Amino acid sequence: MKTILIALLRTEFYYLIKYDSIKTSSDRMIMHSFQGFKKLPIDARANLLQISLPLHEQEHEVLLIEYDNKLIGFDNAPKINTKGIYSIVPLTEMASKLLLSKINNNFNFKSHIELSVYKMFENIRGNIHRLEAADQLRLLFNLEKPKEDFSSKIKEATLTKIKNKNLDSNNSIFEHLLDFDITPSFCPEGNIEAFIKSACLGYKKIEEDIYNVKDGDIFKYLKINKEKIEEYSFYEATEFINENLNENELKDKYKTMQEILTENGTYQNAFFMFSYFYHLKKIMEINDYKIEFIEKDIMELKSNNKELASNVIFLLGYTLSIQTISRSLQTYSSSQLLKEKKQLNINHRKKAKSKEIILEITNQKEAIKNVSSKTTNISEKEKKEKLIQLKAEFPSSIDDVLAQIDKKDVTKTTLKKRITVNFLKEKGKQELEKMLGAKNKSEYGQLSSEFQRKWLYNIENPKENWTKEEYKALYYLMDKMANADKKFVEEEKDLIGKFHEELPMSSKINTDDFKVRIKPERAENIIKTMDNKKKEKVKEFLIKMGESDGKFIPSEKKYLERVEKIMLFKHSK
Amino acid sequence: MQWMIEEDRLGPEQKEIINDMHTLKDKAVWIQGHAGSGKSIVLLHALTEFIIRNPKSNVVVVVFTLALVDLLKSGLKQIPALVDINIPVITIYKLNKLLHLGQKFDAIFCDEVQDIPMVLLKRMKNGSNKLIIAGDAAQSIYTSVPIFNERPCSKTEIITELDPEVKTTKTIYRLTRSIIKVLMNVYNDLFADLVHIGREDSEIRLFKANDYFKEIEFSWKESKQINIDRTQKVHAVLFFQKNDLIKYVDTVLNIEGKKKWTNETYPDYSQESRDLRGMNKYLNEKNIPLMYVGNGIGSLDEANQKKKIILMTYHSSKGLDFDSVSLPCIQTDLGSTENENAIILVALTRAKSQLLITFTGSMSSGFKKFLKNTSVKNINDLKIDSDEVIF
Repeated sequence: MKTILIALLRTEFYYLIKYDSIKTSSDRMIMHSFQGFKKLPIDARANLLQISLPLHEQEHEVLLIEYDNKLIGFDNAPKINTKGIYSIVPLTEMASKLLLSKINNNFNFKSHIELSVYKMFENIRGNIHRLEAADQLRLLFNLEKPKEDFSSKIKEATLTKIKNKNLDSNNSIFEHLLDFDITPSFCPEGNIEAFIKSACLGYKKIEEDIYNVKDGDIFKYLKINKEKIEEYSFYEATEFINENLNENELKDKYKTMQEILTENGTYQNAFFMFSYFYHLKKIMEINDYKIEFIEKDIMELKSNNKELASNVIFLLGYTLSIQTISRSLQTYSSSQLLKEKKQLNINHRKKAKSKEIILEITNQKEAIKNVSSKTTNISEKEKKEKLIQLKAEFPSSIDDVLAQIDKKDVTKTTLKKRITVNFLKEKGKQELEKMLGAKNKSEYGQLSSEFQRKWLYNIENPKENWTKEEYKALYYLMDKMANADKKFVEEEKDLIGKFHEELPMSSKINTDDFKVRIKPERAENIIKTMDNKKKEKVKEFLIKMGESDGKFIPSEKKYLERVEKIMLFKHSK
Repeated sequence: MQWMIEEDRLGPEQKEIINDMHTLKDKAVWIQGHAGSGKSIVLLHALTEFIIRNPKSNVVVVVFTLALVDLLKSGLKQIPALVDINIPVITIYKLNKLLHLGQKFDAIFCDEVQDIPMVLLKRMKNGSNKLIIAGDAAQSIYTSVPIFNERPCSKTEIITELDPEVKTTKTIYRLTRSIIKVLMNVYNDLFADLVHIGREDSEIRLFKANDYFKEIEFSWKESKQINIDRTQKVHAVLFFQKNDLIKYVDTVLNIEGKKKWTNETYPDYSQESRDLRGMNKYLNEKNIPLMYVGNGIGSLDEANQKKKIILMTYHSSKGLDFDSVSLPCIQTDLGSTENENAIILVALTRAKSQLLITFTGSMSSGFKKFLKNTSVKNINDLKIDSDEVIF
């Protein structure tokens, strides 16, 4: 008897048993007997399975039947009946167990297909599903295909992941990327989570314990700046991190991490590519794999870096596969089947460099300071006149404020202090509107100081975060210093004002807070236990204070020495 | 909580069970499967199918705990076909009362059937025209069902009593790769869903301490930090028995420099010390972000809103999910518990993302079976060399 193999869904098999015959299709037929099939090379067998088996079913949902070739009938399509079934061939051992528990165990079961053949078939099938997802996602966002070299590496990495191998430093960063798919408990949630996971990936690649990341400076930097990074879109956060890490003392460590992640420079944007991947994948996971939740991030990335967007989308689609995202993809389809259809919002604002407006902090501070100094010691009448004049000097709309900012010159040193108009418009809108509505100059001054402290100085001094107590202790010291020479000159007053503006607060502070003065011992103790960076700041202010009126008199010097002693500074000016 | 899966996204096994349901007429149906195989979801879809075919029928959904009542109610709300229909979801105790009073139902849909006693099973059978039960006899976690004070029915007893059509779903949909790997050390017939590669895995960490105080100090520090760092998520600390829970609370209070909840010695706590409602109040007063939830005390929603870490027993946590879970004190011997594996399975399968397991001395033999391939770190060895910190 000459037999062939026919692939059937388990439900089709049930109907065949129940009603004695069913129609099938010629592409489900493998024109080999089971014995003949077993003699074929592994890849040939895997490819035959790929061609014949239904596309989306699990291993125990499909079976092969050995069927008598002569008994295949025809009724507009090939027709088979129970009489022609010679045996059942399950796909895997597990499928065999499951089928045996579900169907009549009186049937003649053959041993399952070789595991190596099935695994190869599964890989071929998996690759088709993953490519489909990557491609559909790419088309949805109108992005180019990533370079062949890149997609090949992801495919290789996926195969490694499927094989569940233990990785070491010889494996590619992409293999480590797909392998590292936990969120370690020390990762705070939000934007920084993805950046920290990318840092962990670097540790993993060099076979270091990922839990050491939390003792590293990059982790500490990200954690200190968590709130700020959270206020940005993810793209803005990448820019903020890149600029700041490149320009502070962490520069070398940042470079080391990038070198590890880029595999010596092959993928320059690796840190951000991987961070984007982790970020978008997490958003998808917590939102039932709905694409609408990542739309804005992708559009923003696309408008700023199309190649990176292509790579990230490929990574995301290929990893999640079509089974996971097909439903969400369908919602963007133009099919008449759907009641509600989604459209991509193409108006996600581009954060283009050409439109980026640079804010020069020093000039802004000067402007505010000028406003403040103009308002002291004047009569009511003069105040009214000045107010009218001042109002005229003030911009009348947020756009005007920002247009003024746009005119400022950009220097290398101010680049790191830049802030975008879009950012200000979105995040600082409420405060800006409040500023414009100020009733008088003092209110304007106060509001603008608050505004700057909140939105600008925090960027300038990202590592500092002064508590109310520390602020008061420092204020106490400055007050003492200013009074050390029994006079209180204007410059010193200005410095105290400046100090108010310059220190980023962890909590709001207002003039009422100073009604309760801090005790000297407490103030000294607070200063004593501050971190070195803050101590440096204290010293810097006190020296400025002493020098502010052009001289440094002995009483001031003596006072500074006392403070220095408390703070254990070596400075001996 | 979005956990209900629409029918077109169910696995083939699950769909098949639902499709077959109406062909079985009045015959009882028993949906079996491991933790994470989606039994409860299949049960609710079977209910939907039943309601669509029998719109005027009088049905009830029965579960074991009040927490599960909330969970299943929210699941039902997510099924479009049931949006305007009020389906009662009640505990086994309430159902027992209703049946005892003679109420009849067209259909009863009972989850966690392995934990109900024979008296109720009989009442359910007699009080309904159609009985659909879900649960796995191997997962029974009670030796004696609370309030009934009777042992739960065995698998044989259920089959003898109901002669049900048994439908089994073997594919694990909910659990992550690492958790499945741990479970497979004991349950070797688990079968993971295909679409796993892109899904985030769980972090499993296992730590050993040399003394109890150090263990809890470490475990509490980790829980407290994660509660600060991940405020949008739900965190829980689970215990096999309430005594361990009370001792843990006292140790945490001690660590935080607060007066202990009880001055009594473990495990001989009086009724006063075991007043967990009072303990919640005390923890609140002392500003410790912990809340006991179980047996009608505390609430998952309140704990979530107030950003508190949930304290629960393994038994009460059954059927629930948390983002991170701590399992301290796994040295505790599970004693003469018959279904030791089932209880440990419940504890190990509650965490979606992070699972922290700690013990003092050596872990109990039950846990050892599951965690035999999980590497153990000693909390004393956690200090790292600065050379190992690269960036």
